[in-house]
Amino acid sequence: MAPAILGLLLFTLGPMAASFLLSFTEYNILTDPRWNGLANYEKLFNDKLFWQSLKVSAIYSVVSVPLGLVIALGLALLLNHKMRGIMVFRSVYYLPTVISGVGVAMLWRWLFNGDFGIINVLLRGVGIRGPNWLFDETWALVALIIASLWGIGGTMLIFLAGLQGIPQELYEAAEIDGAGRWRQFSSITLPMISHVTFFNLVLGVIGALQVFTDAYVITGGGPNNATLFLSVYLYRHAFQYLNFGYAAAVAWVLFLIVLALTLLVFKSSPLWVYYESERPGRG
Amino acid sequence: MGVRSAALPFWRTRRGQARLTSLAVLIIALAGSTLVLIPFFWMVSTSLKQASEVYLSPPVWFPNPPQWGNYVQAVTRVPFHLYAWNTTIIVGLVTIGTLFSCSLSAYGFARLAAPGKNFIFMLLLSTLMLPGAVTLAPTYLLFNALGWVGSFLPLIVPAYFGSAFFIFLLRQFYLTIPRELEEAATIDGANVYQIWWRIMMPLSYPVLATVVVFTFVGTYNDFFTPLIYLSDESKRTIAVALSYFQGSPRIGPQMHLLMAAVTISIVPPLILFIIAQRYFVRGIVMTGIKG
Amino acid sequence: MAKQADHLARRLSRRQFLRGAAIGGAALTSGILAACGSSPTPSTGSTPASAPAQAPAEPTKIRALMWSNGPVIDENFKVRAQMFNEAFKGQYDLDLQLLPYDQYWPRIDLAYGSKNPYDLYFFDVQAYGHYRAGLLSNIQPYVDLAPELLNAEEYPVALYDAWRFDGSNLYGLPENIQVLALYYNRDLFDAEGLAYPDDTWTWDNVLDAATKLTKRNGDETTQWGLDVGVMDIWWGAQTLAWAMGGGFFDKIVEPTKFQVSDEVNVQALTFLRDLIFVHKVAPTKTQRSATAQDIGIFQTGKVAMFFDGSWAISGFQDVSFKWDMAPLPMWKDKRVSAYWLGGQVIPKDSKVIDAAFAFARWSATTYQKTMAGNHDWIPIARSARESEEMYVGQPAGLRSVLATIEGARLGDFYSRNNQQIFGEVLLPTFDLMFLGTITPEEAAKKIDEEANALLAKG
Repeated sequence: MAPAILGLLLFTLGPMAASFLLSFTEYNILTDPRWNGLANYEKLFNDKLFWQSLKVSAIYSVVSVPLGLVIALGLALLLNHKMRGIMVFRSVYYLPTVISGVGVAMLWRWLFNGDFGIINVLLRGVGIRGPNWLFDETWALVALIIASLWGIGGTMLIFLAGLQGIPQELYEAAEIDGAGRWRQFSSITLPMISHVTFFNLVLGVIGALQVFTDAYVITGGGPNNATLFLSVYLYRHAFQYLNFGYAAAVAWVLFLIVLALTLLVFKSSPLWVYYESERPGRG
Repeated sequence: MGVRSAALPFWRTRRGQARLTSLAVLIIALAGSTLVLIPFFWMVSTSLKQASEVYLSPPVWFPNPPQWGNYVQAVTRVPFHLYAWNTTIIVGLVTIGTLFSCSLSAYGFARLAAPGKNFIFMLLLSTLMLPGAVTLAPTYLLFNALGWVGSFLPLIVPAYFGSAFFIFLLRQFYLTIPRELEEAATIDGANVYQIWWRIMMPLSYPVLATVVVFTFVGTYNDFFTPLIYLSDESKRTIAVALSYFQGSPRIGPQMHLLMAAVTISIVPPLILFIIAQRYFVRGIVMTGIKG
Repeated sequence: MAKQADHLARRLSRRQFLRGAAIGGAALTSGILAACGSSPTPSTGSTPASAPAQAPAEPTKIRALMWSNGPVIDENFKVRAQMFNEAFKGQYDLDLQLLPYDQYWPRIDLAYGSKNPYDLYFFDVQAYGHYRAGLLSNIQPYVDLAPELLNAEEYPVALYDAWRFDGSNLYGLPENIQVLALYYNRDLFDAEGLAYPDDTWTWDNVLDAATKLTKRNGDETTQWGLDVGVMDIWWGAQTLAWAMGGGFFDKIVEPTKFQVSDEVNVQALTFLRDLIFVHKVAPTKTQRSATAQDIGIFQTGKVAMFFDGSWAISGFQDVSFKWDMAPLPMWKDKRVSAYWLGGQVIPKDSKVIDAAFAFARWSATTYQKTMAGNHDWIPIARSARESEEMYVGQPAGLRSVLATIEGARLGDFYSRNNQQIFGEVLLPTFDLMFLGTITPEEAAKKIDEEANALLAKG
């Protein structure tokens, strides 16, 4: 464990600490930083685009995290059956995560095209007139949420790995005791995978608040800042407006928010997360 | 077949139930798959178009004749074999490093009692919470001071020190393994490393397979880090090569070639995933514990 | 205040010292040799392949960076580097790297930040920020020693003023130029039996033709007379404001005031907007994106006329219909196009400024003919621009479009935080205006307010 910590300190915590210090400076990367105290933090509280981006990131996370968890779990349950060809389906659902960001962005711009993008074509097939997704202030964010759900394969895989670890005997015993499908699910499955649910929830929150590539490449923060994620906002300040110090300040505000939420989830974990190795009565 | 109880219709029997479930699973999975595969279909379809067909409206679904030559172009325009080799080296080394360092660290977090362990774990997790954009400059300057800019080192070495994401994941799994096994092994005189290698690792094949797949895909698709540290054309990776197909702000991409390149690039991770599926075998964890 | 900065700088540089000493020593040596061998003397006339008094032991290495434009154009740049190295064999060794645009500027910034800047890179607006940070070298002394570069018969020297950032000295050497044009679909014009646009056309002619070329099928428009194209971006719309006698800000280098609310500017914006919302001969942004991708509406063959830059030519090569280009239409009798210069800048702290300048100079002189033949950029030298190679396989109207270079004005402005003004003020506000959400008056007021606020800050 020791070497890992050392390496971690050097390669990760070191730059993190540096960025923290930089948040109190005026830094354009090109030349050396100049100390300016809390000026960046003051500035961000007064910038309406900061609050806009906070709002966008918050809405996105609140919607996509629970939705993602539910769908991923559902898929994992679905694909946990011993069935011929189940491997094919698993590959299909995992496939979206395999495409690199560059290709995905182009793809989604086509798919969400208002007139002949497949999404709207399908909607038209059932009689609904789809919106002009990426250019509509309300629907652009929805489009990004849909795009994120397409890539749910990773979360699904982790749930699947968790499901694989549940011993068949438990289900058989429950069946003998007369427990129905739902009872089996809520009393066996859910608790037994709570350790992965916990993981997916924590990482889901952390990840959703830092989503960058999709927002940056598909909508560019538009239209009219409707999809201006915090990560896009700070990237712009860091590398386009040469306000790296300011971007660092924004990043650390985001950090505190994420940290707070994560600690919340951790604190609540004894209530619902179950670890086999910590069964009561054991040394 | 044998005589079944006349009172139970087929769909109430155990076999019937199983069959029905399988059928239901099949239908739902199929429906979902179609939705998921539509973008891919579009991708492949575009990759087979001529340049002038790409922007047609209403769109062309089945280009005729299909331009298989696009694939040849995509691969020969750039030294693809060189990029593939570079990618193999980087991805291979990173995956191995991640697998070993993370599982070892995760074991430590799950089992070993050390002062301030929880604090360090939180510290570890916190490394995931800061957007990468603002650590980019300090990290680059660090690697520059070490003289590693321009080599593969900044991409490979950090993997050998662990990644918070996987350490967390593996820790979760290790916490589910009952202590009896290790207690027995310790009595037999095994040390920490032996327990880790002989017991913990084999018991967690599904999650290890997951780690391998994730690391592979993540490193394979990472174009940003190589672009920041490597500028030599001879050191490019496949993901980097893809990003060169996208044109520039004023000059759009050659969509048909880009899609062909993307389609080709999907193949290696897909193959890996299919291989990794073999490790998703149910029940390995608990068998052998009882009694 | 500077203490912290010093401390950080000293800490980093101490670590770099040993490494840097080795590299620096080598660089210094070759730098000195290069300086001795290739000082820019005009003694050998206009050919830049001047043999130095004493050939250096090893060719001077030049580290250069350019952004990628896709495999085809990237290949041209690789060939260019090879050509230069051939021409200066044994003297210079140019290492030209290409990066996707998104990584281009971060890389250059990081190179500066790590005190290891490139020796030369290609200009785009962001480089002005580097000038403001005091990082670019003043190349006027070098240009003065190569007077052919300022020959007014060969080069549009008046347009170079935009790059005299301090008012009198050049900080970059232009090698290519871009202007705006009106593209039109010949097939659609033929179908209606209309005459093609040419350099005598006014906006009235355009509106007239557009009306005739717009076809509707009930509620839906199946063919548009025109698409405003880049006219819905501030630098496109500004050309109309210029032609009407206005302008969005007071000066190009370090503007102090935005004046979009001036009557004549609002008039220009209103006119453009009316094409979409009143005359309905052009699609709205949403309709445009519904019909095509963000680039491709002209390529779909559904619009008869389209405004874009001269850089769009290569993108239209593969379309299925016949097309051509014409200069921007006149307003009454005045036409002002927008131009953009492309070229190289050299960091002040490069160790091989002479060598880097040699490349810039070669690009602006010897290489111009090749550039014309490549049809990827438009060479700035008149002899190349008006050569036969320039027009081979190019649309017939290119000649008249390029004639509008004289009298064009820069389609940019330079200030420390211009990126932020582009991104946070101009782009979104123009978006809103052309989506019909706000009126030109409201948009003008918003722009002036916010842009002036940002200008004041920085």
